[in-house]
Amino acid sequence: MSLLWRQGLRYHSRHALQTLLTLTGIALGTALLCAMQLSQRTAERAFDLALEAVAGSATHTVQDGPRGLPVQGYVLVQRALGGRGVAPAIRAVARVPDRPERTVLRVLGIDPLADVELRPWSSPAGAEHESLPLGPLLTTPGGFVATAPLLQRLGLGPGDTLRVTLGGRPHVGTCLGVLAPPPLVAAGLEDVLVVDIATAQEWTGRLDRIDRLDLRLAPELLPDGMTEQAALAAVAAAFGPGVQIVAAGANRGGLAQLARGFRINLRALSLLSLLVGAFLVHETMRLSVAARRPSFGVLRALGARPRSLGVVVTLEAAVLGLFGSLLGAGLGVAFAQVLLDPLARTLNDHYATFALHGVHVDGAVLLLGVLLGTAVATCAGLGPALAAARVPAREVLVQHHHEPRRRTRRQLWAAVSAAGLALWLLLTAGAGLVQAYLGVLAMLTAAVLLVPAAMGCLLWGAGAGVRGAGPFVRYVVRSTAAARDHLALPVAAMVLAIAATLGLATLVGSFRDSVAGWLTQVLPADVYVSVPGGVDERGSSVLAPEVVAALRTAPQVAAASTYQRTRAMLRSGSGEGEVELVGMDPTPAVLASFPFLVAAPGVAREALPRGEGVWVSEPLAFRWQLAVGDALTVATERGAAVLPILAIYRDYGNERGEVLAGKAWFDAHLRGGITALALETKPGTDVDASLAELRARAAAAAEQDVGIRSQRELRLGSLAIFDRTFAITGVMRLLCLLVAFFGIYSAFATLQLERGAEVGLLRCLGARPRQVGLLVLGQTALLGLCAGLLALPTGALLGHVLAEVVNRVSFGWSLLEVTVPRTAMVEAVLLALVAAVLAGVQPAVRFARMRPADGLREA
Amino acid sequence: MRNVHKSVHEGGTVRPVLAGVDLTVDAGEAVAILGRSGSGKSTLLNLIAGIDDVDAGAIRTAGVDVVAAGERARAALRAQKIGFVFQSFHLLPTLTVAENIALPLELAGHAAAGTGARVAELLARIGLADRAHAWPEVLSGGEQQRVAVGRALATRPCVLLCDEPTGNLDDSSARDVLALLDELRRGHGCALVVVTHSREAAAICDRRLRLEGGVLHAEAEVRP
Amino acid sequence: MRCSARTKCSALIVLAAAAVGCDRTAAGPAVSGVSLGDVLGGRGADATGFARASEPPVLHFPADHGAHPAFRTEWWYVTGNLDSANGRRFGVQLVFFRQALAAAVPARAASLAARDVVLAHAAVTDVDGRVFHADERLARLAAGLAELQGPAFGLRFRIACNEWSAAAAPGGDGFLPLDLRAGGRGFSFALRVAPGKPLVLQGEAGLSRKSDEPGNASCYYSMTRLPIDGTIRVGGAEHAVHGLGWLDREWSTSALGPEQVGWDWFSLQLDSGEEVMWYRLRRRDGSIDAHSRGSFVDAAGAVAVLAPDAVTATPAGTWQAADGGARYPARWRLVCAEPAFDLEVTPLLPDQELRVLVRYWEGAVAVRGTRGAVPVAGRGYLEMTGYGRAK
Repeated sequence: MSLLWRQGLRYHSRHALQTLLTLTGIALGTALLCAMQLSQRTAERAFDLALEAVAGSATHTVQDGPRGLPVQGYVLVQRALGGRGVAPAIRAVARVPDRPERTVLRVLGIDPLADVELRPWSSPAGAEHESLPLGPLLTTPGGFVATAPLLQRLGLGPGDTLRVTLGGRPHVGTCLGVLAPPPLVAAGLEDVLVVDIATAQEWTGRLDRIDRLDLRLAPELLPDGMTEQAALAAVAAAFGPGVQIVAAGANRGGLAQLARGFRINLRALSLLSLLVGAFLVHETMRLSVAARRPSFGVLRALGARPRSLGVVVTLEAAVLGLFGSLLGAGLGVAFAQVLLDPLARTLNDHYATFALHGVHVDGAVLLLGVLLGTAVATCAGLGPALAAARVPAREVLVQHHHEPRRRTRRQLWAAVSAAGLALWLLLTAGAGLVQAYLGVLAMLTAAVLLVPAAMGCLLWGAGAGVRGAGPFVRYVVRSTAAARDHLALPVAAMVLAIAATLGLATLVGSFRDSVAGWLTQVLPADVYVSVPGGVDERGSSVLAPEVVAALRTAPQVAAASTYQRTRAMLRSGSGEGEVELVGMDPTPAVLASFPFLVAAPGVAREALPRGEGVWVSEPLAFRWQLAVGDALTVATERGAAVLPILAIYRDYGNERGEVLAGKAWFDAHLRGGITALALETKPGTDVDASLAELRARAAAAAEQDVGIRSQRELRLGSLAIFDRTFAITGVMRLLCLLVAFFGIYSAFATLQLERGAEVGLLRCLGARPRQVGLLVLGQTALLGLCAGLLALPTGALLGHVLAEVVNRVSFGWSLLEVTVPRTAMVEAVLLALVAAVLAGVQPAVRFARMRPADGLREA
Repeated sequence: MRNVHKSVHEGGTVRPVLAGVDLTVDAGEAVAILGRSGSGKSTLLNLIAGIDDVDAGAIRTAGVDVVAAGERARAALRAQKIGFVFQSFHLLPTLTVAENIALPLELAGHAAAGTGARVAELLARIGLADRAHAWPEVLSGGEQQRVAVGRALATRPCVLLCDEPTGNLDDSSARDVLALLDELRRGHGCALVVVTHSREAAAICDRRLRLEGGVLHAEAEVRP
Repeated sequence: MRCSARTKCSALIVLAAAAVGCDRTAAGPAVSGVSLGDVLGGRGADATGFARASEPPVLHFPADHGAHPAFRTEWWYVTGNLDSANGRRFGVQLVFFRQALAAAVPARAASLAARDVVLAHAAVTDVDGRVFHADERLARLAAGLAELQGPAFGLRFRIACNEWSAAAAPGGDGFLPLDLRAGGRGFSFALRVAPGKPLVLQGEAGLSRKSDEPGNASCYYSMTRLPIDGTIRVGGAEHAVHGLGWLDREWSTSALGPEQVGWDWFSLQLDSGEEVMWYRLRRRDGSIDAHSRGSFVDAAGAVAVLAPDAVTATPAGTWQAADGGARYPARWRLVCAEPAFDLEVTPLLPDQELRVLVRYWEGAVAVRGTRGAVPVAGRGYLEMTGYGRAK
């Protein structure tokens, strides 16, 4: 190894503590990044595999929303296309009442006989693997097969029965065998009951329909001379207008939307922690360069070229980054495991249900993490490298070595520009998430650049405050102020880390307050009725008409609002897609309670029941850039219907957005039974007491598992889901705090260790060991306090930006009010203080024990 | 060195230290520069090595126009043609004795494999063959300065510049180092410029000059 | 005929499920896990609830041309040798299998609930083009994906699987004339099979025993000489064709015994107006099973049963599939003392192997030899199963 490298690496190995702390910082940052990516990749993979296992090798899928497709259309397609590469499917979600720990499963109904080209694992051709018990599967009502892990989880063997409910209706399944498809497919079927399509028809109550038709339009499967175009035309003709033929892969965008909120929080956090890690590298390298200035001077005098020195220092940073991020990649796998559980719960609460068992360790993610960690560290080392390259040869002659002073004015100017850039980026972010994040980055940069000046002000203030105190206290404050430039960077890193946690707390807290307020407002009725868990993966199940009738006529009930939720193809000037559409028959109370953001003057509430227009939820309005008065085209059974938008209302319940229409209009144009009821009880009714009676009435009316909950239960339940969703943020915040703590600790500890000479002098002048210890602790505490105080405005600002810009851009909803939680503020300052004081402990003890002569020798 | 002028900045005032210095040192010749502290002796050396810039005048070291040369050329000059010995040794603390001596060879572009013999030879010459793998911090001052001399001569430079080579040494160590310098210089046949207060150091030189009032005078009284 | 105790349909599905070629037929290793074979009519399958063929059936036509759902397996099998007006020769095969998955199922509301599946194979041998085309269809008997009806209650016979069908034409007896429609990659045909020589009850008055176990038998009748007209489309060109066909009907619940590993089946139509049917069951040890049988139909339609020792069928040469997956006899010689014939049976194309869910060889053959002392020629179809290589 070259001697130039050797001298550098030996420097770092001689300063093992500092190096270790730097490595830890980088490692934590990389670990967070990897963990976030890995857990997300695991979810994505589970989703993709599930999709692939379910959709097979289809090139196209025919669907028609929640209505499904008529079997006759399928038969026509099968004849037109020659029956090869055409396979029906029904997807549903089943609850398993007897297994509380794993209550929701997916159900996949297929026709093994038609699956040869699409899902070979289920067909007689897929015989390399254990095959389906074809005969029993087709002829046993309720017969299912499942993968071994699932059967094991459910405690089932062939011949055992399992009670399930779909759309609240109870069914009995019979396990017919173990499904053993190829491993990748098996991974996608980990929480799936595979049933024959006829069983799926019976379980979902769609006796003459299928959910979707998967097509594989490959030339070798199509009849002679038929082009893909002709095949698609034949499919369209078989089903008539209105069906969607979706090319494969179009569905795959699903997860992008799926875990977006989750991902956004995590990505920002992990990048931030990496940034903190970068600060650590920068600090370490800067200190090491400062400490080695004499050596660099000698090297220059001996003829080393400036560039070689710069390269050496850069590469030292790169090596630190590499080792740190390698460590971090390993740590990331462990962190990912921690994140997986809250992630799975979030996904299950909001979207589909799928199993996440164990982190899928994706080498590419780890590699990327290592590369990014190394790159960030290398970049962080560039500044110090430049400083090293600039060490003049005559440095060798200088007795006292000083770093060049930082240029405060230039820094201030940069801060102002960054702030301006941030303002511009954030104000014009529109729907651009990347821009919003760049804005946040610019804002944080401005904050960091302002830290030295702000610190100066604070310390000046502190200096003024202790003017009357004894010389020792004054010495503590003034020596800190004097080293301000030197200390600004670690303090800035600390400010950044603490501000991030504060910003997140602000976002989550404000969000929760908004949701709680909104829930109180939008739940004016006393009792809410719906079917727990939809039949299909997203939709809602229809309440049995008998149940609806029984509940509406219950003696306690004064009035009832009904909701018919379905999905429909919508189009406006700026958007198009399948959106949840609700036909509503509201009571006056419900009608009056809707929290409008914007409404057409006067008539918005009254016009909806008359079918003169629709209300649109805020996320949809934001996503599609809809305004009151715009026209919305709805694809209905009777062709396209055009309706004006009467109002835009606040809705935190559905980030994809939804549309409300009047019941009369809904019944005239779309199909779909009542999916939910909101009951208002007669005055004086004890709501909680009447719940049991209502439940009994519903149970007597029809064999359907119906959820009947009081307004209070529903509100608390919704908040519980909210808390679960953001539990992940709590975990991330903790990890971020950990990074911040390590960063602060390492920066301050190294800073103090550099001060041996000063301390030695103090000891020679008669300072007692205890006083020296107090000096160090006092100084770090002062710095910690500085960082904590500076983090407050930064964090508050960040919280506002996250809540009002990033949140809006990502989800499309605005918050009622953004407040910085007081506890989080106290927490931030305390954290800074504690971390800083702890960082001072080791140097304090060391200095207290040190012989004065040793300190002087360090000069 | 022709008509060299140089001023230094000190606490806001500008003080001229060299005011038209002329100096020529031939190959194989040893010159001692004497003078009071602050007279500009070290500055003179730095100018010769291209570590510092002149205000006016011309300097040619080992055939290179130092004033006109860029930073790269100066670095190359120092690496290949000049050996430097400092008052406070300036060994790199994170390299061993042998590595410190090998460093100039590496900087001058010699392949690492070929330097072993040269390093061993120099270690033997400075009498520290048994300390090759010691860290500088465990050596005595005299030993450290011997290592510095060995390092200075590693690349067989044509100019050896010594800045108070015995300033930090006790008498006996100083004698050792001076003897070594004299011996090596004669062995190499290189030009030697020694800046010193020490009569003993000056005694090993062929010529003794005194820097006074910014110009060089020949030293009057010469004692062996 | 189509021989053997084991129905081809169940064999096909079982074999496919067991991931083996025909060579590992019924006698092959047990299907792993939950045995599809057991379920679909394999040896160990529970035949409870199904009817068994143990006595010569009492047949009523045209009703018995239709389905016999009491039995597990059933097929309608048509082969033919056809010529176009300009002298191009074609072989054609279309077979529909019905396989019951259970003897009885509860009444179900789902439109796609089914008890039976229908499997169909179609093939065209383009002798002059030297190309063999084959394809298959598989569907559950529900909702029109597959269909099976009549002939009864005024309904004409129809069996269909996806877009393939065999349907009785108006004006006949409800079964013949039968319109065949099928096609796949590179070929299609629309043919009408007209009434011809009277049907022949195979075996003991229609009961064809396949092994010693009682009930391991099928009901089996043939129509050995039926005029066929229609069109065949191959390689983008349509050919009007005319020729002679052979129609086999067979239904059973269980058939093959454990030691029977494959069979060779011949249906030969001689220029003399006579027909020969012979099936040869091969045992695992390579010997010929004692239940090999056949029949000889004279020009007037009188039937003589050919006992196991009456006919000597000798294979000659081998033809190996390009992928090495199976090796079949390349030619045959059939010798019989009474009635006296000595016939060379040569495939019109060496490769007439159906490589569908399972692989077997079934194709058009030329016949040349002597009948008594008189030279005779003819055409026919040959089926060979159980020649695949174990994986």
